[in-house]
Amino acid sequence: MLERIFHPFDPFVLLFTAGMSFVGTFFLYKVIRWIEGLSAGDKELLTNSIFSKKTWKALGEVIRESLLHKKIFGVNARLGYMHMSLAFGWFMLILIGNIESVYYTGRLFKPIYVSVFWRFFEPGPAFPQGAYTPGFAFWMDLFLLFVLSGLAFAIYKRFHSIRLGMKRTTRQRPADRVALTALWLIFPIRLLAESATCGANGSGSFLTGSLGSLFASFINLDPLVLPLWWTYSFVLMAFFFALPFTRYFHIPSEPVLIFLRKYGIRVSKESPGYTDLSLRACSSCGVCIDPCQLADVLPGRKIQSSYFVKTIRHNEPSDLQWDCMQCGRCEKACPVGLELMPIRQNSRADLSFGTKSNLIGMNGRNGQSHRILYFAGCMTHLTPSIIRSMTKIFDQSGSSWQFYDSDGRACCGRPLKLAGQTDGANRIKEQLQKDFLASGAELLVTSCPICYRMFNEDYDLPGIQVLHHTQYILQLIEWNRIQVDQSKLNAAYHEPCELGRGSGVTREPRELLSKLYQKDVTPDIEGLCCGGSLGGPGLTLATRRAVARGAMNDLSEGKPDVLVTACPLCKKSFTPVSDIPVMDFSESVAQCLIEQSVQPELRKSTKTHRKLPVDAG
Amino acid sequence: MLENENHRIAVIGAGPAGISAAVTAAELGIDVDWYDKADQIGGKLNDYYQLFPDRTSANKVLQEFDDQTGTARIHKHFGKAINHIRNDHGRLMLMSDQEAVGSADSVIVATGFDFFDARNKEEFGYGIYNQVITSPELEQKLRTNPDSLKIDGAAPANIAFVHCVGSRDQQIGINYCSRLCCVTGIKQAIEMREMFPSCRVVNFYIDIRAFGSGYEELYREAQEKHQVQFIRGRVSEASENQQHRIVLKAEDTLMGRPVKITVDWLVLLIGMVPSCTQVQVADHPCTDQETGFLKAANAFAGNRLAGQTGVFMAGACGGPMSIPEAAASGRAAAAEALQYLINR
Repeated sequence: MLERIFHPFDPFVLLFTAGMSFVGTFFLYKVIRWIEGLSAGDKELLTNSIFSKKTWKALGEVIRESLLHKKIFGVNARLGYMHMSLAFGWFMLILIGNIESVYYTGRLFKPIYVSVFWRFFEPGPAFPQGAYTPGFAFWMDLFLLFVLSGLAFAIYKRFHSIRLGMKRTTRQRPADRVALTALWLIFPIRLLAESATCGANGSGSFLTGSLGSLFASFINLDPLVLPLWWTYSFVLMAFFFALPFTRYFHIPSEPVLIFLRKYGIRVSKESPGYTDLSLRACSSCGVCIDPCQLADVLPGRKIQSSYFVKTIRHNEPSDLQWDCMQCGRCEKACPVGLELMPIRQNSRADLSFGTKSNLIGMNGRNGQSHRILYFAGCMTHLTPSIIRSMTKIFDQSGSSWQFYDSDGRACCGRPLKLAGQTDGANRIKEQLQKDFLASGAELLVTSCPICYRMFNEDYDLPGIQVLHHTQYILQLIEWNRIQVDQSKLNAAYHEPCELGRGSGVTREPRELLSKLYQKDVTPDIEGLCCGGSLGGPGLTLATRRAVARGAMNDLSEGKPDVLVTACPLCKKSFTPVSDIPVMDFSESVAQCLIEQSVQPELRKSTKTHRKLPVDAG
Repeated sequence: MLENENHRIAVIGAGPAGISAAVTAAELGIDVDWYDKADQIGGKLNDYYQLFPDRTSANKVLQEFDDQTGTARIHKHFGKAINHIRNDHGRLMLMSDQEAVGSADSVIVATGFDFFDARNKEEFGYGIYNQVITSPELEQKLRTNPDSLKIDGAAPANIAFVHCVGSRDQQIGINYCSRLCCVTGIKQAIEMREMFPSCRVVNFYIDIRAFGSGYEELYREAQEKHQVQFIRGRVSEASENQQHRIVLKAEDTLMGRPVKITVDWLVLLIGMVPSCTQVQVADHPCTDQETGFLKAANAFAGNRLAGQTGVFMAGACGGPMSIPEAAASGRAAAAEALQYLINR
């Protein structure tokens, strides 16, 4: 009976089987820990979604990203090919090997090693007759060649990473090196072992067969076959034993992450299991390093997400979590789609000293209900000309509006959140949320992208639409509620991190720009950080200025007469380093505004208003 | 005193430091070529009303300075900005926009300072609200048209001064103390109280640095005699209300509570920054990297400019300085320049 189950068998397969069992057990243990580490709500999401369409969608994504690496292709085609050939090629070798072994043995269930070492047990069709017929051996050879070509790229990349389009690449840890060496050896040794078997048996397809017969023409392969398979088995074992302690553990982790993400689970402090899974799913590919503006400003400091993830994954003490502006450029670039910003924010909390929030300054309403609530935000209070411009625009449009934080005391809570002080942020949120809902307003307009993102992502405001002032002003113009004269100047738009990348508001500011200025000379680059970010409380002024200068330099490419932005903080950051005027959209609009007399009754009454499209929604 | 009559000193700048340097050099028997970007002497002294601590008229001080400059040894070349000094084999060439306009054996740089541009602290509303002005603008108003301080013909009811605007502020990278804004604010507060006895005057400060002779006495006088109110705490922001008055929010850090007041005028006591027309000397770095002001080769030993031979600095081009200090440093620089010419 036993003999039947383990047939065919050779002692060398034990090495592989040991490694495989080890990594399999470890992986299973991790999966259980990850799921255990989910919050009650996330566990519910998991159980509710597992038998839904989401699972199929996740499966599709696993194929696209874990096997084909579509996103890395988007970053760089050669880099993508490298990842795809290794992942997809290896997967196909396993799949076809399995089918082949099932086909020949007629047994669906058998030890894994049987299919892995199938060529040893079954040398394949006679060479050269069967070499080019598309049977199992042919496909196996083809995919082995595919993997080897990717491996060649990988080895080449290690030594010449610049040529593959990445300026910088990640450094390896000792365990990584063991695994990397093993990984590099696996496929060349497999090629040798299979070729030797084929050569000795006069079999094989175009690759293993040709190589085998070539070897056989000048040496006797018989004594070499078994040692080569032992080596192959040993290298596999080494790789598998090293795997849990290295970055290569992302290979089994990433699919799990994709499933849980599809089920709606996100990084949060309440689900440490999911955070650990995310950290494990990072392949340390280093794609996040080049987009980081601090890489140029603080050369030699390993602060980028790739390094950061590595230090917290290995529980190394560091203060890297503070050296980041939270601009999100790395998050956008991450091919695994890791939530790098929340991960960093949450890791900050451990250092917080507890928040004392006295929640002062909720303005109190004067009894009258207004359709629009204007929330300037604390940063806007540092740029009074934006408030003045918005006042002018609101009044000119004849809207019924109220200035919620006219005394500047209200905070949206996001600065605390970015600093990792979630509790304080939540308390502020609860208070403001209650106030907004009680105000009877239908529309909440803010001048600050930081507040805008917080209101959208963290607040629950049924019946109130949140708009950034660029969106609101564009609607006012489109609905002819205000008129503007186009300026003769050329303008470039600086997209604030929190508005563009953070909140997905990209269309409205550009449209507004084209209405206000003769020519849009915005360079075609991913939104930059102005350096003023609230996300990096530990960065010095010199660093921030350097970031601002770098960004200003890039934004000036089209020789604009004016730099227009949509965030008070960006405006404040660029002003000291800019030779051209830096303006917020509200200021540009107020400047171009064609002033007309507003009907007094229109201003007072909310009923006679022509409603904005947002009112309906 | 000098054997060779052809020894000439150039003085760049005609503020208090430049005047003292030029006059002293001339009195010591040297011919002076005197340059200034303006057409008249005095520099910023022309814009001041009264000088602290004893509130001497700025005009009177300027007149006294001017009376000394009528000597034949001083040759004025005003209305031309010298922005570069080139060392041509020991001869110092004075360049104005790539063009050599003169040369000298020794140069005294006395180009002074600029006021901090208050628009860089937008939260105080300068350049946005008409009722927000800077300390030099208040001087100018007091000097030329004090009535412009009235609100609709009546005395203002509230005036606030904010100390340390563009001084001791890490947020904008100006870490040094401008030293003289404190006493300027004290002096101007007294002037406001004298001019408008019914007006409440409040100064927001971090700490009062009344270091000079007579300054501390003036600070005490402002509180005891003139009831000027001093609140320790930074103003966080200024905004405008419907009546175009300025609403200030600050924290009283001694009382530990927030303060909100509405004022008719907000005066920003702006700090001193390196002059934008500061002379470039022979391509050698001679400015302090942190502050941007000119740097002495050895601040303990004299006024010779770092990395230079025969070039000396005088006055506030080397850092915030009062008028008497600038004048003293001008006289010292002239003496050093002469010593250099004799010994070289």
